[in-house]
Order: sequence, then structure tokens, then C-alpha cells
Amino acid sequence: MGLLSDLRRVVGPGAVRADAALLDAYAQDAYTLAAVRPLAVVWPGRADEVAAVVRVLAHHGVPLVARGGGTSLSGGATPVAGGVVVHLSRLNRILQVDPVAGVAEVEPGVVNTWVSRAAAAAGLTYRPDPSSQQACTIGGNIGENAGGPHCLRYGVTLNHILMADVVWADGRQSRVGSLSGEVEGLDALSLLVGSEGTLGLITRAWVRLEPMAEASATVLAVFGTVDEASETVSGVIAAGIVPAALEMMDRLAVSAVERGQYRVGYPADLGAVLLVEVDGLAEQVEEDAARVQAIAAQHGVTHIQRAASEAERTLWWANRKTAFGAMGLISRNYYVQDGVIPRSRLPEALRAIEEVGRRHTIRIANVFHAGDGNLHPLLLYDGRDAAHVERVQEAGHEVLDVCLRLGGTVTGEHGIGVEKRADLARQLTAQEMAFHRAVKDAFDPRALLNPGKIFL
Amino acid sequence: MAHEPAAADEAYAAALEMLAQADRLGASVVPVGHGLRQRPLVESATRPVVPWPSTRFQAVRRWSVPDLTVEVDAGLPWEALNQELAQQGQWLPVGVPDGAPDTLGGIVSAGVNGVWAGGYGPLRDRILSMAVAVPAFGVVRVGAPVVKNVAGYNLWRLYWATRGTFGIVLTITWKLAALPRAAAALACAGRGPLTPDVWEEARRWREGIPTVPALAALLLTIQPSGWELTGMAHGGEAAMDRVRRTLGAQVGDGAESAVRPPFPDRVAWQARLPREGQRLVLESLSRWGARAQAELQSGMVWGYGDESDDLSQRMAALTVRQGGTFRSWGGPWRGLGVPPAELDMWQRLKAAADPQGLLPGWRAESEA
Repeated sequence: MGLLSDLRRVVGPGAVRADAALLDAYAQDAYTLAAVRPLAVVWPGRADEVAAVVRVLAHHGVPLVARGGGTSLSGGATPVAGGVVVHLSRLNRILQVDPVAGVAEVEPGVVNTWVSRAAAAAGLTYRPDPSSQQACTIGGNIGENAGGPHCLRYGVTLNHILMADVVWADGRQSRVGSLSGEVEGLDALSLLVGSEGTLGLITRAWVRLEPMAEASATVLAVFGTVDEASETVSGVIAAGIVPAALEMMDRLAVSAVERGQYRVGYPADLGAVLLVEVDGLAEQVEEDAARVQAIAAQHGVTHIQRAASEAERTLWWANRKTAFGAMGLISRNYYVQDGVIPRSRLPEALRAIEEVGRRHTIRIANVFHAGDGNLHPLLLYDGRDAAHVERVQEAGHEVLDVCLRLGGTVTGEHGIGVEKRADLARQLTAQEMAFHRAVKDAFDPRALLNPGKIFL
Repeated sequence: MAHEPAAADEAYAAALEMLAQADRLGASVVPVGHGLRQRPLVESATRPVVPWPSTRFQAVRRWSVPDLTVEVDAGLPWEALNQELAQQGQWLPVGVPDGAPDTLGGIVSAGVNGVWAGGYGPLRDRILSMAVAVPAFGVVRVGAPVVKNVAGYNLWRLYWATRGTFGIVLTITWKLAALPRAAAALACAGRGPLTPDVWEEARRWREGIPTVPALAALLLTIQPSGWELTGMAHGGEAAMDRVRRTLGAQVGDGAESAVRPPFPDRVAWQARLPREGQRLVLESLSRWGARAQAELQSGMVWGYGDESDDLSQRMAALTVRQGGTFRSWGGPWRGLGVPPAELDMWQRLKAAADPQGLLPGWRAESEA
């Protein structure tokens, strides 16, 4: 039998498509610099169908890419030539929210924000909050070990996934992890989280829910220079304050978001803005907010205020979280980088990135998770100009050189995907790469699960 | 751009030499810090054992005070690290439950989660990076020394509680916390088995401190004669003053002594329970006359005494039935747990990392 008819027998004829227009739509994810038209797209509706699809593909020796919301910024869900996209969007049920256990049982196609929405009635929330949380899925979050602004205090996806059902490369299924949050023995779940779909496919996950804090305060601080804002970040961390979130935008980024839907009304002559959120007991929040304000004052803050209402806080966050998209208001195209540095090195990192932009005559906006040193330079360009595209890609790699030179890493939350395979190989030694390769070979010896990602 | 060559480091070179020596002798290398948690492993080894004396290397290698990160040799005892960190108002929230002088490498290899796991998160989540000696790959760095990283697989998790199965841990980079500016302690106690009052009081404390987490530690000590509930809150002075006013906590220096090893013996086993199974298991322990301590926010439980006795066997079975995990630090070594569906994958990884079988710990339960 042919591949497509075998797949249709498993999932039904309507859940396998191979028409050109649809395949083109699946040719890329949010990383738009790579596009590969897949052989077909399959929509399994249950875990056993996922397993059967994987078995069929293994039988035919056809590689697959699991896809969730398609929001990967590093090409984690870019199809493989001659491969099939397994789109998990039909596995989209929240099966249970258990407020006593503090756990939600969800399928991989559940959108990130749905979980917190479902848990809100019980006063609980799911912490990881990537900026794409309105569209990205839990399965994708697990694959990429997604972060977000509030991961500074509460941790990334790895810290919030307790247990998962997995389909392995040969179609076998098993349950990994434990509701207790710890594994006795070998811990496959920890390898799966952040593996970009190269080791197994998640068909169900048990995620940790946490109570909302009693109080929070959001402080907006405006500085004349990026250096002053950076030094404030370093000062806050060095003072032992771990805010729930600590975000920065520079002047160019602010100029974009202020043209968008969620306008805050920042002064025109600013150098950088910090958005600092502290939470906890009401008294603790007051104390921490006051300390943050004092540290900002020591570093030349020109304007500082606390959100006076939930509506104001929501506006500030909407302004920040739509910053990537707002780049479209000031540039035809943009390319978002993702690297991490030790947070005390922020001032020199931003100066070095500015120099990269100057050298390549590229405008670079900075919108990032300053509290954990996770940089997101946005390189603005015109995609119609091939030379400009080339310069942007070169500048992107140089930005990562800056991160490595300062003792950091080439990705904090966007993953390696197809984009950073060469950068990973620069970060790691040959032996370290071989160790990673050994993990891949052990779990997927025929290289059928998302091949061509992570490794060159 | 990658980190410095392994041979440039004395500890790295020594570990590689020891692996080579073990290969020549047909022996296994077992890392031994102070020998507190690895004894069963050494005793049950089927090949001659070459102990890796991790305490030979116990330096604080790189401490970035403004970043709240530190890289240390695996042989450094946790108390020594915290003494040094305290000079700059920082600490690693370890809190080994029996107060033993574990090395940090031993803590990682045995998966020791301490009394602060509820308030400060599992210790495992504070590991950023490690340098490990792997027979097939030499000395490699897993993870990265920054607080956020998704560059490659989470390989450092291969070393948590796996007793050196995939390599010898040489250095560890930790994410630190600031020492609390103030503390408050809560306490109540009762005689005999646990009563519903325990859970009611624990609930009252947690709800009285409505934040995440409520307490830095919420410890229930169980012994044949009765029980003791202890809460420790950390924070600023105003917040701690509220805890004192609303819950009757003791504030100040005296509060610090509220968290201490409850028994003179060593911890024989550690369990971690899902929230729903906690009450059933702890009430069972109390009825059985156990000596144990639990951290109620994290679900950690530590048992004191003889691991091989009937009580701990019953505890192991009950924990697993409730969906928890059980880790023995005494008695016979039972190997690492591997579900049958994963066995061939782990065997392939083990063969790739340790083709000569120089490292211990590989005896999957499902093979037994």
C-alpha cells in the first residue's frame, strides 16, 4: 500500500491532505527564512492515532515533524523534505483541572492561555507565558522548553511539566515523569522537554498549576540611556530581588509599539524602558517595589510610576507583549534573535549589539527579558533586498558571538531548530555535540523524528 | 568560543586518568564524597571498585555575586559553600534533612532534596550547568552557566539522582538565592498519631500567607510519641511582622533554629509524594510508628533509621501506589528504575556514553 492510503486508513480520509496550496501553507513556521514543502499533512485525533501514524511512517521510512501552533521562531516546525507534518491541533482538550492536586491534564494541541483560563476559577494559573501564548500550544511549549516574561521568578516549561504520555520513534507509547515532580531513576521527561520533537511526540501532559500571588505591583521606569536601564537591572538582581518579571525595551522598540494598538504614551526622548513586576504578600510587594524604585533612582531614572489599576497594568503588558509584531509598523521585515548572557553583563552586551548594527548598517531594536539576561534583538530589514537579508543573517550570528564571548548561550527560549545549528556547534565542543548526538541516536536511531533540527 | 580544553584543568585530567585506570583494571569508578549516600552502590558492585575521591577538589571556582550564580567543585561540602556565600548575603537553599556534611556532587548524584524544596523549589531546578567526565566523550560541559538556556538537550538532568551512571560530576554551576532579610517561625505539636488538627493547622498557615510559596519550609515531623508541625517564613521585615501578627509566629534570630535535623540518625530514604497522596501516606507512617519528616509544600518525605526494615519496605510500596517516587540511601542497591518501553533507548545511550561499563548504577529494575 502507498503511504497516503496507509495514513488515511489510520486517521480517516479527511485527516490526510497533500494538495499543493495547503502544503505551501505548512512549508514554514514563524521562522520565515526557511521553507520546505512537506509531502503531506496528517491530523490525528487521538493518542493511539498518533502512535499508529508514527508506526506507518516508520514502516515507510518517512520522517515526520510534529507541529503545534507553528509559532517556533527558530524553524523547529519547518518541514523536512520528503517528510510528513503531524499536526496535533485536534488533540486540543483540557481533560481535567484538579485544584487540590494543582495539576491540569491537557492534550498537546491546547493553546497556552487556555490552561490558565480554565484554572482561573480555582484561583490557579499556569506560569510559562511566552509572548505567543495566544497561539502557541502546550505540546510546542514542551518541545521548545518555552519561557516568557514571568519565567524569571517562576521558571520555564521544564519546571512546570510533571508527567507526559509519549509516542516514541517506533510508535511505542509510554508515560514519563511523575505527578510528584520527581523521577526515581532515569528521567526521560527532562530530555523530552526542549528536544524540539526530535526524541518523541507528546500526546498528553500533566502541567503544574500554581496559586496567584496575593498582591503584585508593576513599575514602569523610563531612562535616558540603555546603560542606565541595564545598570538598574543588574542592581535589582544584585540586591537579591527576584521580580516576577523584569523586561526592557529600547528607544527603537518603543517607537514601534507606540505606533501600535496598545499605546502607553512614553516620552519621545527616552533611551530605554523597564517594566518590573513584583508579587507576593502585600507587605513584601510594597517593600520590593520601593526598593526597585530606589535602585532605579540611583541609576538616573527620568520617570517612574506604578500601575494605578489593573487596566493600566494590562495596557503596559499588552504594549510589551505585542512588541515583536509592532516591528511591522516600522520595518518591512524583522528578524528576532534570542541569546542569553550573564545578567551582570547587560550594559556591555547591548553596546556590542549596537556596534554590530552599526557595522552592518542595520537598525536593531531591543525587547527582552532583562532579568534573566535573555536578549531579543530585532534586526529590521527589507526582505526584497537579498544583500540586506544576507547582512541581517550575518549580523544575527555576530549577536550570538557577543553572547558566547560574554559567557552566555545561543538560545534562551526559541530553540535551535534549523536556524542555530551552526551556532550550537560553535557553542559546544565536538565532544559535547557527540554526546547530544548519542542521545538522539539512542531515542531515534533511524532519525525519523524531526531530522535536520538541532544538528547540522 | 567553546569552553576551555579539558586537559587544562587538574580535576578534569585526574578524572580522565581514573577512568583510564579503571579500564585497565577492569574496574568500576564510583565517585565517593563523604560516602554518605553511595555506600549501597559500592557494596553491591559486581566489579572491583576504584573510588573517585571527589573531596580532593573542593574549590569555589567562579562566583558571580551580581548574577547570583556560582560554579563549584563537586567535592565541596554544602555547608562550606553556604558559609562562603553568606559573606555576600547569598546562599544555596540545600538544607540536607539529616544535616550530614554531603558534598554537592553527592547531593546531585543521590538526588538529595532538602527541607527548602517547598519554599525555594527543588534543588534540581537550581542546577544550571555541570562539567562531567564521560568515558566516551571526555570532560564535557552540560547546560550553560546562565539562568536561561535551551541550547540542546537538558543533559544535566542525566546526572540528578543517577549515581554516576552517565559520568563523574566534576563541577556544578548553581543558581543562588539571596539570604532572607527576616524570618518567622510557626510551631505546634501533639502526642500520639497524627490527628486532623495537623492538616487544619497547616491549611491555616498556608492560607494565612497567601503567596507562592506560602512558607520557606512547612515541616511535619512524625515520631512514635507524637508529631510536630513547623513553619518557616522568609521575607522582608514588614511581611514577617504580618506573619507574626496574624498567625502568632516567632520572629527574629530565635526563629532560625526552628529548622534543624529532627533526629540524630541519618536519613535512610527519601520519597516525594503527589499532593493528593500526602495525607494518606503520612498518616500511615504515623500509625506505623515511623520516624520521618515531611515538607508539606513539596511533598518531600525523609525516613530515618534502617532502610532495610519492614516499615521502609511498606513505605516504598505505598509511595509508588500513590504515584510518588522512593529513593533509598541505605540497604541493598536496587538499581535505577526504567520502564520497559524505554529500556532499549536507555541501554543504547548507556552503551554510547560508557561503552566499557566503567560507571556504576546501571541495573534497571525492569531487568531484574
